[in-house]
Amino acid sequence: MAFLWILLAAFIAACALGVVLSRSPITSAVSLLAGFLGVGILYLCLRAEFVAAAQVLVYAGGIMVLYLIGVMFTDSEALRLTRQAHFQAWPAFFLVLALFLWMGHRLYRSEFTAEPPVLRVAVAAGADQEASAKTALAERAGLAKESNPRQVSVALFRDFLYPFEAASVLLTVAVLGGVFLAKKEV
Amino acid sequence: MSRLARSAGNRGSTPREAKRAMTYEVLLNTVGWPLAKIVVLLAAVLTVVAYIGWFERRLLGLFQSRLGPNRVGPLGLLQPVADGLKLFLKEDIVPLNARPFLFKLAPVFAFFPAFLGFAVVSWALPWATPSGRHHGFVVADVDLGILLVLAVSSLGIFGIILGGWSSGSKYPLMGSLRSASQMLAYEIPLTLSVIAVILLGGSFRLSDIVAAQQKLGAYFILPGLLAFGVYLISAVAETNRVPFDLPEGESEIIGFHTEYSGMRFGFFFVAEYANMVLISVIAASLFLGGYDLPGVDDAALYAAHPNLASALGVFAFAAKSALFAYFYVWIRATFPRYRYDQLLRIGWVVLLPIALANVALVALLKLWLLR
Amino acid sequence: MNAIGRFLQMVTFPELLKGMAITTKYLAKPKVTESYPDARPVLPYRTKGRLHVEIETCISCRMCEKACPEGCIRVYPPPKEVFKTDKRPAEFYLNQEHCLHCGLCVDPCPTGSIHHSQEFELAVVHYDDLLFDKETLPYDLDQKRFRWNLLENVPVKK
Repeated sequence: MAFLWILLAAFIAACALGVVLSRSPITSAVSLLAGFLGVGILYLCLRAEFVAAAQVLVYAGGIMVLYLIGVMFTDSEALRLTRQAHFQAWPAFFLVLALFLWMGHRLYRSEFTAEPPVLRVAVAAGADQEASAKTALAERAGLAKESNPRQVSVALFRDFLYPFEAASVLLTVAVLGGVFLAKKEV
Repeated sequence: MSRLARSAGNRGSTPREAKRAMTYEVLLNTVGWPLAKIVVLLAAVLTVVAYIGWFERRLLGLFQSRLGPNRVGPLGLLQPVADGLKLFLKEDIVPLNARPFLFKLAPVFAFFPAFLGFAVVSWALPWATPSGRHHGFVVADVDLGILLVLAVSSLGIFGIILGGWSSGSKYPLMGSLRSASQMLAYEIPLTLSVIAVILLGGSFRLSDIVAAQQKLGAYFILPGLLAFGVYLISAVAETNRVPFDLPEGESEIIGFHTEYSGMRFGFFFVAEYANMVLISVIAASLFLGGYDLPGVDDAALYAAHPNLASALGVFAFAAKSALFAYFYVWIRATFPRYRYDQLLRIGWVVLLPIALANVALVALLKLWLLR
Repeated sequence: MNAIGRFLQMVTFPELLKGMAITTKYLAKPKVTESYPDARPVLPYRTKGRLHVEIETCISCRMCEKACPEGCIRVYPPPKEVFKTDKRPAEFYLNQEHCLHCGLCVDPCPTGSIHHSQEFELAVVHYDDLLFDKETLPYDLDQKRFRWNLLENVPVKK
């Protein structure tokens, strides 16, 4: 599992670098798409299936399509020749580096104990301890009992209902603003 | 899982034997059975996809007072083989203007989403072996089956967009733009109509939805008639079939795969038929009760003869899906193509409000009548 | 009321259903396809296929030979002493390579021995196969669907 994680993380990081470093916008868009898919797989590995599906459905399937259509209509040759970063390059690099180090520090210090249950079963079986295997299996069954969409919906519609509704209002306002800006005569 | 624990407790007398048995079981359950199921499912789906083309051409011929392809083999049954061979043997051309990497990637993007969706379809009640185990007729019985299908099938559009763009020619680009806006327009009503069924069934899992229909005693086509209509129309548009076949326009419009030849074109072609099969299968299990045998008490039959119920369920499912495939060919034989603005108008102005209203309607229905 | 009627029309699609009913009707109708190599098509009786000569009724008058604009017919009458009793030609050649299927040889024939057959599979492997003689010229009578009415010089349905 850890190996898979390293592989995925390296893939996602490579895709992210491709988005930033590529000169051709279409290559950027395609590597962004690959990165979204990689993040989706990462969510699947973390047993957050609903989030994975939402990631693929909304980001990869919806937003990326609009990006790609936009990119297709731009003059990609002219963009390739344009110098896109001027004096900002080095300050931005150091700022992002500082942010990255800080985030890495925080992540390193925090405690994550979520271990994939399958791995636990295997480990327990290896230690040939029947009792621990049984508790691991019971734990897994408890995890699986609460289905993933149900967990998400409980979080969205019971625990965090007001922030959720506030976000939807915000989106509606954004849509109205977009219509207002795009349409010349209302 | 209880099986795992039992084998760990009973079988091994020594700890090492217990461990070995356990590892074997884990391997078989995590790798062996899923792989076997995947192979069987892929073989079946590919065969069906190959023959749905033959089925469509024969049926279309009958609709048009012709006979259809009947020369290769008895009844023309070897026609898919001949077509496949032809596509494999043709020259593989990459245009000079094309972006080679994306040009080669695009058919893959079109091809895989079409086949991935079959993984979550549950084809029948679980098969019971003499040793008392139950093998589900499904590759991945995940919580969010239908959502996964929607998510994965939304990726199929990239094959079209990238294929059209990377060809380095303006006609495929125009075709792919038409297609992209069409698929964006019809994906939303499709999703909303599926959401109505999810509300009725109370689960994303296809087997749960079928079980809910059995419990209700009526297929969801009755309470979700509006959703069914919206699903039918937008499914036809999503699979780029007549009368919404603007992206492709076999007869006159130049489509997104104009520059493709040989097997790369074949990938797009197969993906279209795979999408058609997938859409039919999903429709059958969402609206027509899937593997439920009409007029039979499935639970009682399953308790008495589990394997008979499973086998019959597969046939019932296939028959219901074939109904949809027949319907698609039927409307293909009947209707001319819509104009582009009409197409988008139907999608955004007619289907979307109907689908939205239907979701609210079904929610109220669920709240008051079907609790 | 009008709005309700229009809405009903919109949701029930009467014209779409009508179209689908029409295609279903055609599904059950007999098909017009000729499955040609398996079953020979029924050609119209005036089909101008390859020339057929009834050698038995030919009187070696050579009218067809003179009428032929291409000169692709050659008739060799029998020797004089035979001709007195038996007027059948000694040899009859048709150069199919040059034949126009114009039918000018059919009109002057006094006995109606020469006429077009139903034969339309005219492709051959070798040039020599295009030259027909007395033996190869008669079209396989078993396959013919029309008999020749000698008096009126018209085909009759069998």
